[in-house]
Amino acid sequence: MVEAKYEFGDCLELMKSLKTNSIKMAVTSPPYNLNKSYGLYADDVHLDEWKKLIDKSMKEVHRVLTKDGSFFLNVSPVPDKKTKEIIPLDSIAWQLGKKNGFFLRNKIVWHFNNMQNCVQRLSGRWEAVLWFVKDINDYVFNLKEIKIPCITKKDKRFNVNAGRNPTDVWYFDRVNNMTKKKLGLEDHPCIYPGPMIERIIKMSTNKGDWILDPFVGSGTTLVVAKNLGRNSIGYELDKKFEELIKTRLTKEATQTKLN
Amino acid sequence: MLFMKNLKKMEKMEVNKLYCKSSEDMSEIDDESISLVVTSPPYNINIKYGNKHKNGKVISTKGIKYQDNLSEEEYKKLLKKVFQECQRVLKKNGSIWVNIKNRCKDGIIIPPFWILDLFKDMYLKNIIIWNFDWGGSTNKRFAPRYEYIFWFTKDKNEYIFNLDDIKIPALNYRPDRFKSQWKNPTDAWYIQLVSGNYPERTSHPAQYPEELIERIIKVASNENDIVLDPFIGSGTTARVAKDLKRQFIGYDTNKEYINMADKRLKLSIQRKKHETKDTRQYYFSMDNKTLSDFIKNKKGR
Repeated sequence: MVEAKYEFGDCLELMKSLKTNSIKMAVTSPPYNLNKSYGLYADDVHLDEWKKLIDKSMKEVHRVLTKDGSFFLNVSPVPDKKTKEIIPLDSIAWQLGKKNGFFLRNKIVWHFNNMQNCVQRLSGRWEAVLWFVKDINDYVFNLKEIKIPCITKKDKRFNVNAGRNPTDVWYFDRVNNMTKKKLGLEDHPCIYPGPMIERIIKMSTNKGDWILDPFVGSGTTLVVAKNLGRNSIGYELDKKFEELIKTRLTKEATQTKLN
Repeated sequence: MLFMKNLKKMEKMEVNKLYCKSSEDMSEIDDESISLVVTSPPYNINIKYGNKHKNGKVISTKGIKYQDNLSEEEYKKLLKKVFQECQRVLKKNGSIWVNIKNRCKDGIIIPPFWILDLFKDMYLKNIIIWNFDWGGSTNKRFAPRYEYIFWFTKDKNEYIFNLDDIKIPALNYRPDRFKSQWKNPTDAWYIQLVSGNYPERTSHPAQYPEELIERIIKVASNENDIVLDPFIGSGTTARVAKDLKRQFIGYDTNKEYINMADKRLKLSIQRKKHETKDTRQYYFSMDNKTLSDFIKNKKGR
């Protein structure tokens, strides 16, 4: 029986109850410094506060991960509210990761279409997914599970049908407002796409492993993990998502695969 | 000394010229005279480019090598000096575009964010991801298929940005409807690498595509402006600047490259116009299904 647990409160406190070396993979998209309204979060905390939050949660994640575990962190360059200068949060997160003993295995670029247009600079169409590992020589990577079609069809050197490495540039559609409506998710401003989490879960865990999302939000990680036969645990500060997560876990998780 | 300096000031600055010397000293260029600096500095990764290996031994080699194995300290010092000079010669509304990529040391990825330290007095406007197909494969991690272009401006608000000149067809592009069919090319660019059969290909080991530079020169400079590349290499920046009616200045320490670039500048190539029949050339790595459909409909890309 696959478990999908969720608790509400400060993830820094809640993670303390997790056993050391018990989680195979953590994946999360932390609140950005974007001044978007995430319910309880006043998400305009100063950059230093943001750093502290990420630093502390990374420390806990590092403790609970197994030796061959991975940590996927979705962050992006964001424009400063006042100067409009770009702040590379991915750079800051990378520094913090190193500080907490992680190795960077890939800095994946998640590319998407359809978002607001800029006239004073190039419109933003990518975010970063930092793939950290605890041990650079020993970690789970099920490449076979996530291969994509080859570009060439007639190359004799390799088995074209086996597919190819999906590379470090990924295209996944954003969860747009229409999809949100369909799933009844209008309450949450930023939802990351199920198929992307599916790829991450497939490549870095096996069936029955435990997955952690310290900032679980609307519960996407839990839903996808359940679909793929992985145990999962998610923490969220804002209790207003409780009903939503509950509904999604019963409805979507029994639906056919998200992909 | 002062007399010499004044004498120099009296001379008119030379443009459309490639200097065979280090760009750590660019005293040939006046203060605040350059509109755009665009460059791809050496990566200092000490890879021997263009070699063919067999059983771990180099069996043949092509391309001209460049010195790319400075100590990390020397390398950063060099770049610091060069970009300080770049900021001195840059106009108030000018910008600097630097192409650089992730490094991989002992299997650990090192993103090039240290470059931000060299531009503390400038504003970061975009981090552009340049995506391409082809390259080495790996089964231990994801195969690298992108590089960065960091775009810095000297002024927060006043800078050249000719957006209309570089717009690309929208996803729903239809040639019969002209209006609002063109959009901002965004900060994620799909531009193919310079492959062996391109007419622009030289024997430089790390040549960047003309199409990439074309977009940057068009958006960040106007006609007759001066474009500077402190690491000119095979001369791509100069070639494209000339074609787009901009002036140029370039530096490189390797005489062979300078000769190669000068030769390239004399050629009368008609720059190929990029037609917009197929919007795929502008958009990268679509989702798996779209991509496989696309491939199915194309014979031998």
